[in-house]
Amino acid sequence: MEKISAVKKFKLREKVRRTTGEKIIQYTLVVVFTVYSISLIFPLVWAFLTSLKTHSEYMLNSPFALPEQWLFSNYIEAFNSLEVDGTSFFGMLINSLWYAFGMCLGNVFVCSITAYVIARYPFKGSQIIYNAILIMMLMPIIGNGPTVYKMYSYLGIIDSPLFLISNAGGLGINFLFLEGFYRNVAGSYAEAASIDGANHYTTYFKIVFPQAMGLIATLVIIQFVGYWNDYSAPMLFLRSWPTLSVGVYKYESAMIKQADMPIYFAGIVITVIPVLTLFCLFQNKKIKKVSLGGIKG
Amino acid sequence: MNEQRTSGGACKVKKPISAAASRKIFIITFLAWPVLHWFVFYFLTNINSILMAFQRTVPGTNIVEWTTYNFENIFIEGFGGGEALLKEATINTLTFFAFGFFVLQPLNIIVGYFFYKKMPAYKVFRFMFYLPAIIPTMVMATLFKYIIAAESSGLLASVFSYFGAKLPNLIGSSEYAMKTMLFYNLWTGLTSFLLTSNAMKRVPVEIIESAQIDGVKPMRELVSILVPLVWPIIAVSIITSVLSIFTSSGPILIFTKGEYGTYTIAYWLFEKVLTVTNLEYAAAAGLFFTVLGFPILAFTKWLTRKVEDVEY
Repeated sequence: MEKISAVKKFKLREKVRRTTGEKIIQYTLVVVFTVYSISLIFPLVWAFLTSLKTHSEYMLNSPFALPEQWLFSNYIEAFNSLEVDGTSFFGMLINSLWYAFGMCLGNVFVCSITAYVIARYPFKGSQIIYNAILIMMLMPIIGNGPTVYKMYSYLGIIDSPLFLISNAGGLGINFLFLEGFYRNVAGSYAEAASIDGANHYTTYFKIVFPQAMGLIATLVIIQFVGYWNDYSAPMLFLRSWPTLSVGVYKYESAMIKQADMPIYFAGIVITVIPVLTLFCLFQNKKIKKVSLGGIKG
Repeated sequence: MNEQRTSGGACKVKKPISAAASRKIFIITFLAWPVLHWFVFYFLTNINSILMAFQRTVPGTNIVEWTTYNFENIFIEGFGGGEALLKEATINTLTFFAFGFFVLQPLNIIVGYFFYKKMPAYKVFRFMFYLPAIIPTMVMATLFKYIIAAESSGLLASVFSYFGAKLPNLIGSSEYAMKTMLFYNLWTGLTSFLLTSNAMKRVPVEIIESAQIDGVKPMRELVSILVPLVWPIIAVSIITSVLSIFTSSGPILIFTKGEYGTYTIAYWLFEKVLTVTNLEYAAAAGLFFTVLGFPILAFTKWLTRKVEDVEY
């Protein structure tokens, strides 16, 4: 309590102390930051407004003009007519979903079980594994793309959903986060379960894993956004399974001048919606609530 | 509990697994897949990368020979030939590195500081500034491309034409392409402020308060107090961004596909794999740049360790 009141007092004093010069700097910054923020949001607003126009409006009117008719039907048309390499827009949406979920869930789950064993079951090789992970992260091989391609071809996971296996490893940054969590999580629940006769698997899946759900959810969401936006891996290794990110590029690069641009922009807007929604939820600290709930039980 | 009834009706006592054995089985079952995965997807892959760099398919045959030709070719074709694409890629990669290190990183720290100080409307700005990290690069870069397009449908072009001026071709010319790319990096690159501002929040208020009592001004507060205190986080951010320069091809595919003098090492390698062209040569170049990139990474790490860690 004392600490909280001290912080409040400090903040109050800090407010009072702001000099006129500092205030001028601050308001100048607000102006600069506002301009920059508008520049970031403007392309999305423009894409949205363009997505509601007719093709002739797009071609003939000023790019700043508002739509004459707000054609929300362009969004339905995007689902019906946007197609890349024989895959429909809906197909690309499904591909994006399984790719993003598959890549992040596989990785986070395997990282979670690896981290749990390394953190809570020390054995002779655990420190070696931990150090190997650190070295791997600090010494990345810059140009192993060609050999990765050959290896994946050899394993038969190229151009197949089996490609998801490539990411289902237990190492990397997620391991470090989870290892730190498992190392610090209270052992009392697990001990109580063990006394009650629970085996190691039950203890992990029914006691410890739920406690880590907050962190796991955060990692999954962060990774989901990354994989949803990823275009290079699907473009290289899932050529017959284009995701929305790949579709945006391929459709644009294959497009002829007569292509219906507003419908293309509708496709772009749809691509952004899932990640933007997740981001808004993240902003509202819902994930933080999950994190607190997990341990408080 | 541990009894099993045999077909003859007699009871056979099942030997319980010892605690040590059960622990061992648990460790093995949980680590078997991650270790196998590491072996195949990291160890074998990277060993193969080294081997592949010394291989060459004899033209017109399926015969693979062991050779140093790929490495020789790096210098003959990559750095010394007509196009000298690897030379161009190296220069551009180093330009992006310098731009990230000397421009983006300081800007991110400064932006993080203002958010830490809870400037007016900082929550709105925080949301807005982070958008480029959320919106797919493909979408952001495509929209940017349409905005700066020199054609009449381009937004910037129509503004220029309103004032009677003509917008130059910003991505379709060697004069502007790299500059435009750097500008795009600046425009979308202020997203790691979150890391620094969150780290600054953990600095005890007593330290800041005592500094302010001593009359410390905001800039000094940032440079002399906050930056040293949150340096480990800044160091991670710097190293991550250096690594991404070598591994992420960024928006080059969308903007220029490497034309107009915009190749980078990452994009050159990406293109080789995308077109499945001369993979052995690409593997050799990858290995070459791994060795070349190591001093840059080591220098960055050395630089980030020049500031001593402070416990608080």
